[in-house]
Amino acid sequence: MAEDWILNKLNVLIKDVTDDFNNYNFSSAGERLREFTWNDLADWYLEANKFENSSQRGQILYYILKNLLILWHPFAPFITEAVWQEMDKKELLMVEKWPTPLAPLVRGEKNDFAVIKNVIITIRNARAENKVEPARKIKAVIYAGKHAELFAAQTELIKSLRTGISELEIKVSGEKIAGAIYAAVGEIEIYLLGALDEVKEKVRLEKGIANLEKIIKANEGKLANKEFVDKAPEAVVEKERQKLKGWQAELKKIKEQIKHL
Amino acid sequence: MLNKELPKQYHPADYEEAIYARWEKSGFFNPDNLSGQPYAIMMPPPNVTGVLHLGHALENSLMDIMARYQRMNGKKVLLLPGTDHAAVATQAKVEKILIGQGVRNPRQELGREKLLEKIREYAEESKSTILKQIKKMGTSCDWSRLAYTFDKTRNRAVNEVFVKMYNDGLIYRGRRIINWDAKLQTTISDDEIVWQEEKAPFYYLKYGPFTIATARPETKFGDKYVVMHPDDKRYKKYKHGDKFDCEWINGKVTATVIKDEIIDMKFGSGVMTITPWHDLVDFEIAQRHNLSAEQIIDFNGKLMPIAGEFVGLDILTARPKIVEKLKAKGLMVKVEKNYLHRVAKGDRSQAAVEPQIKEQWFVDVNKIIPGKNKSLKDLMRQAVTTGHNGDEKQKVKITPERFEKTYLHWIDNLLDWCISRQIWWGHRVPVWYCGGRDKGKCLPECHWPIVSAEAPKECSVCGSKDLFQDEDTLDTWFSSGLWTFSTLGWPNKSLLPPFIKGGNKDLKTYHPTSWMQMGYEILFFWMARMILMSTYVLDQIPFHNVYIHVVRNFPNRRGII
Ligand SMILES: [Zn+2]
Repeated sequence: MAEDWILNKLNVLIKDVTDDFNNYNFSSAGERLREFTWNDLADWYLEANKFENSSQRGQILYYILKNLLILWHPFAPFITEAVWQEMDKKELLMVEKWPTPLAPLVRGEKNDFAVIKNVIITIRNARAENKVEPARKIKAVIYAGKHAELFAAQTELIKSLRTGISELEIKVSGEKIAGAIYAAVGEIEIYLLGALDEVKEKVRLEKGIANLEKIIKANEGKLANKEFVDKAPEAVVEKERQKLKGWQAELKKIKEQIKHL
Repeated sequence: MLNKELPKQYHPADYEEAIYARWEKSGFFNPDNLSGQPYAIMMPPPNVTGVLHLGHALENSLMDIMARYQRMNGKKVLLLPGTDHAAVATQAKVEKILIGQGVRNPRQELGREKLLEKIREYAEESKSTILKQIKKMGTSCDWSRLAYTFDKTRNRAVNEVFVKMYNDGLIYRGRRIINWDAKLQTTISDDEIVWQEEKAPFYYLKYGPFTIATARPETKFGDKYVVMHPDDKRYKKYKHGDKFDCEWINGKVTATVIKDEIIDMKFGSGVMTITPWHDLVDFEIAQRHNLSAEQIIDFNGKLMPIAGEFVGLDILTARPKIVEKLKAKGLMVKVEKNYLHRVAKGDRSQAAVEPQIKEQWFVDVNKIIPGKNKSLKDLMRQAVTTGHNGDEKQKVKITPERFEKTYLHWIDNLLDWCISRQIWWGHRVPVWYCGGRDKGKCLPECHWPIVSAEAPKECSVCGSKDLFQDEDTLDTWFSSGLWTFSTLGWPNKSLLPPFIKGGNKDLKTYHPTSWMQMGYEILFFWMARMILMSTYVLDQIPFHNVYIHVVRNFPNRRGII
């Protein structure tokens, strides 16, 4: 699955980079190569392919490396030639034939990995936004709709790619779950259970309330000061009033949230 | 298969020298060892004024990226390396170094040959540094075709083109108003000027019955023509050609009324006096009405004897003194204190540029070329619009497209190209004159210039061997304008291998070249001149595609080529 995905990505890369060269969009070509090499290849494929059972793994990695060296060569002639020579190639990379995209890949749904990748990114973001400590293992429930079968087959992959999920339940659909972190990717719904540490969260929120109340009080004092209101430019006073409004709204939200815990 | 551990870090020193050597040894830098469609890029030759900087590194990368991409695509790629002698830039640099070493006036103290020797030494040293830098960057260029804008082959090309243009009547000697850089002691082109806004007083002066205005009273000593618009009702009673006497800076003058439509009636009083020797507009008015011109400021920027008591003063010292005198004589009507006006400065010297009339060599861009029914301007325009001679395949494609407009607009406003320079480091104008001292008598025809690609042995009229060459050298862009084909051996046909008949093999294979990249700031200096030269000399465009990049201002970037 990830193999199809990366080979398709490489295919697209070859086409786009070639077009860029022909249109003198050198920086765009460089950006695409960087994106593929660091994001698609290093961050995703190299991670994901450890969890895939594939007899072609070595061959595919070799194929990707070979093409990537060719595509990078105009930009980084020395280092690519150096690696090429380490691959025990007899000919020089400098005169290696420029690749053309392979015929479009049709094996399976080539976007399966992309869907999974999106869900993984969403889970990571949700954890970060909710300040879930990286080491903390949590349970997740995913209502995956038409992708349920795919997800069920790839639970190990999802658990392994830095999502911090110890237990993963996949369903086509289901009831809303209370007390969980909620996120969505299109029609796919994700619930992160037990990620909300109520005690900790309560302490955190209470701290926030205390802090806000302090600021609000100081600000109210300032605005009650006749000298300030009369002497300061209208714009400055107005700005202070707006700030106060913002803080008051935030305080209200936090107070509601703490009731729901 | 790759079954070994690569080092965690890449240390360039461990690989790069060996890899470059291997590339060179493989022979693939030389397109003679490649097959496929030819693809030629002529490296914009860096100036031998120092070392390569970041801007060069960028250009070098662009060219090498393109060359390697095309080579991997099976093309017969020629990336031809070279350097530029850079005429005034190099001479100015070496003179500055010499002055720093205590030589007060290098040209006077060393003389032509010795100063040239010093410049040559410096140029060779920077050249060798630059070539090393190009290799260090991994540039895949063909070193067997290395060129220099100032070597023998290129000198021959320059002379041949000069002679061809001269014989076609496109090069002429003319007294024209030029931009004089007193610091560098040379003419500079319009494109080498930077305009700076300055606030300075604007003086309203009484000139007979009129009030005239000027920011430069120090140029006004010799003013004897007073110009107004023929439709200006205020001055209806004055007729063109009327004369009157009036009191002026150094006594009485006889002034003549001139009516010319160029005058802006709404500006000031609508009347001005003219100084044809030191102002382009005034010069043109004087030409239109056949008026005389007198030099007020000498070539060192000092006032001439016509200034009377102010003779020998430089203009900025003189100005307040002249203003005092005008006030004392009651000729000062009023002063506007902070008048914003534009001052011309030399791009390289940062010194004030004074318009002067001087004998110079010019290329006529408007004259019809014999046998072509087109002017050089037409050729330059055609190359990017319809294609050369209407041939779509002979069309220069400019990327990004917007620069095509910039270029065409520039062509519309192009004046004749002043190609002579009063410096020594450069291709000397291939023109000789007969001194005739050994023959005792010189015939009238002897005074015609002898224009020749090779130094003539004797005067063809009187047989005198007493010949002397024109002192001037050519604008650096005259030689770099030939770069796409002078690098391919033009006009030398002896480069031909014996089995090929007629024509230069490299020229046939690689010209027009495929691709050229350059910074925006040399679009006019260089791209335009290459198009001019190539279409005129070879009947071919210099390159099919040109890629213009806009780079942030690197220091000294103007000197890139
Ligand atoms: Zn003679």
